[in-house]
Amino acid sequence: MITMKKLLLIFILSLIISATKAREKPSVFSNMTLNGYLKYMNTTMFNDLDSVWLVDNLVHNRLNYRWYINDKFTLAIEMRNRFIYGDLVKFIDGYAKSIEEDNGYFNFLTNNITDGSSYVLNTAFDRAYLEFNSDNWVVTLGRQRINWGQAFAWNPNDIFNSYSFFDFDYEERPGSDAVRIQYYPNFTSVAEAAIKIDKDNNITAAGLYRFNKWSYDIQALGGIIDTSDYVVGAGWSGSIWDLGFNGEFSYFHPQKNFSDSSGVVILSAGLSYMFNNSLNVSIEGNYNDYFDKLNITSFNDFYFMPLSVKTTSYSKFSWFGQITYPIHPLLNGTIALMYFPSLGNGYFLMPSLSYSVSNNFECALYGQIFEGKFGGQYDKITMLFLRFRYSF
Amino acid sequence: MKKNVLLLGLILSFVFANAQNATEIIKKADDKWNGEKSSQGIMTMTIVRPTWERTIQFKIWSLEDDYSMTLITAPAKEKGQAFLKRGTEMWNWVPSISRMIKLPPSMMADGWMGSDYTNDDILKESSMVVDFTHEIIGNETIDGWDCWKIEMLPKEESAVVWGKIIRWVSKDEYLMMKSEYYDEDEFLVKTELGTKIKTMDGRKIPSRIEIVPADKENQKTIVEINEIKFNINIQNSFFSQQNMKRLR
Repeated sequence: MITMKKLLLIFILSLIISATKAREKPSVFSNMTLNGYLKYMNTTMFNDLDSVWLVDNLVHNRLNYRWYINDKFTLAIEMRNRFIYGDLVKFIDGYAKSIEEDNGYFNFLTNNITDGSSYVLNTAFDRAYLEFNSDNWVVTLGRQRINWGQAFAWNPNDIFNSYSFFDFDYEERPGSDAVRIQYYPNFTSVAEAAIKIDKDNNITAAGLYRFNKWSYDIQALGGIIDTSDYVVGAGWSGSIWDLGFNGEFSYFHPQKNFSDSSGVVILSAGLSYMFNNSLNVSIEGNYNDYFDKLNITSFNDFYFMPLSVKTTSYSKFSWFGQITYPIHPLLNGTIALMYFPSLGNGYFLMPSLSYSVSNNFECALYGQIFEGKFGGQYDKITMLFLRFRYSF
Repeated sequence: MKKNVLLLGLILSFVFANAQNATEIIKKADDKWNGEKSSQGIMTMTIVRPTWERTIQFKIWSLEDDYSMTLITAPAKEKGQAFLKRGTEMWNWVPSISRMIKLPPSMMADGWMGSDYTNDDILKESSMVVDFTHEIIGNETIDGWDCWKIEMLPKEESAVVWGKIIRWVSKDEYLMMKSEYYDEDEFLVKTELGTKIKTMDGRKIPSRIEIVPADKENQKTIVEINEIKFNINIQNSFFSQQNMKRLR
């Protein structure tokens, strides 16, 4: 812990030095960049307006640091620092501990600096990698984001780190502790192989080839996921007339008792269109064979489901629609709706408004309403988020 | 005799210069602006509205009509996003989520980063020379520069988002002084004005472009050229997905 704190201090000091020196004459620091954001978010959660309101606060800082060592080597370190205080910390058992959870092999990179009954201060390095670029090759070593998704709401091809649509406040996603080799045979194709190891020493190892043909980006992938399953999949991005058309599917088959067991298919496909007035409409459908094995018994199971590519959707079929419209050039409005027939015709509704206050300052209001049958019991949860973001 | 031949030659060249075909004029103006082969520039775009302004800075590289790359350098939230165009296809690299997004065709007519500039303008999806027919329809003076007024109509097979463009090109220096963009129903959509004529990288060009939407008063987008180099040594291979992620 002490070494961790020292490491943190050294890192932050070097960041400050690099930020101040960057503007001066060329030196080692002129090859470094630092950017990020500072956010404050207020979360309010209740079942009904008349029920108890739980209010939580989050001060969230992100630092993205790059050192362009030379033409071939780049070092990237990115960290998020969060100070969370309020009712959720107070009332949810083991909340601080769950914040400190890190599923990566290098799980010492996430730490609670201090915590009490109503607060927790957490720091996490979610990127820490060295990238080597030479000719058509790129080798990336360390904690990194490997994003293989092509669809919008659900990404069965995103086998290294899956995405939960609900957690809109963390679009960067956690990194994977991995080695990744990419080879670019031409300007719009890539062949890559990656191997990731998690905190339980489970291994995900897979290869992907993506190429551009018939005005489509097409990808195929195959490998082993979490040591337990074989996975094969494919994805595409293209258009039908002027409609954007993308999707992806993956087939998972347990390695154990290969011939006796059956596999599962997860498939997502969607269409999108932007009208002349910048109104953007997207729809997507998802099929998940795995849903009946999820064993959702409560809303918490559903919302805090450990993220695996198999658990990114919760219903045999799921439907998604989203409308985005710039009500004013500075004010963007979005309404997203998900429909889960297998959760007692449950739904998830997420309206949001974001307002650009100045070049680097934004304020936004999000709502999330969930209603559905979780483990035989109807539940309804409403959440409101008010967020201020300053980017630098 | 010699004198007469010389005089005849002079007259002929004068006549031919004047009778220049409209397509050649557009091509010369286009080449001068974009570089005959390639260019590389740093630009600042300001979206101006009555009560507010927003600024976006970017670097742009282009080769012929087919290849271009744009890297956003400000504001901080969008910094590092890159756009690649190869032929008729476009990609957007979003570093914060580490994802390469293939842009659907319907995005092309949309205002780039919320400005009056469309994606099509930025990525030069359509070629002003190849995708249009051109005709000189008059002579007018703009800001003291004697100009050809040229009507440009899209060719049927081209994927142009405009119904018609009227462009004023100065007879001296081939400066694009003004362009009016009309939709398919012949309604004026926006006017582009070239101002602040400066010598940059050895050629005289408007260093500031103002885009004024037709139906909205007090609104405009200003693109200021901070730096530009023409006909730089840049290869087709520069415009790759691999390089997109490495631009700075």
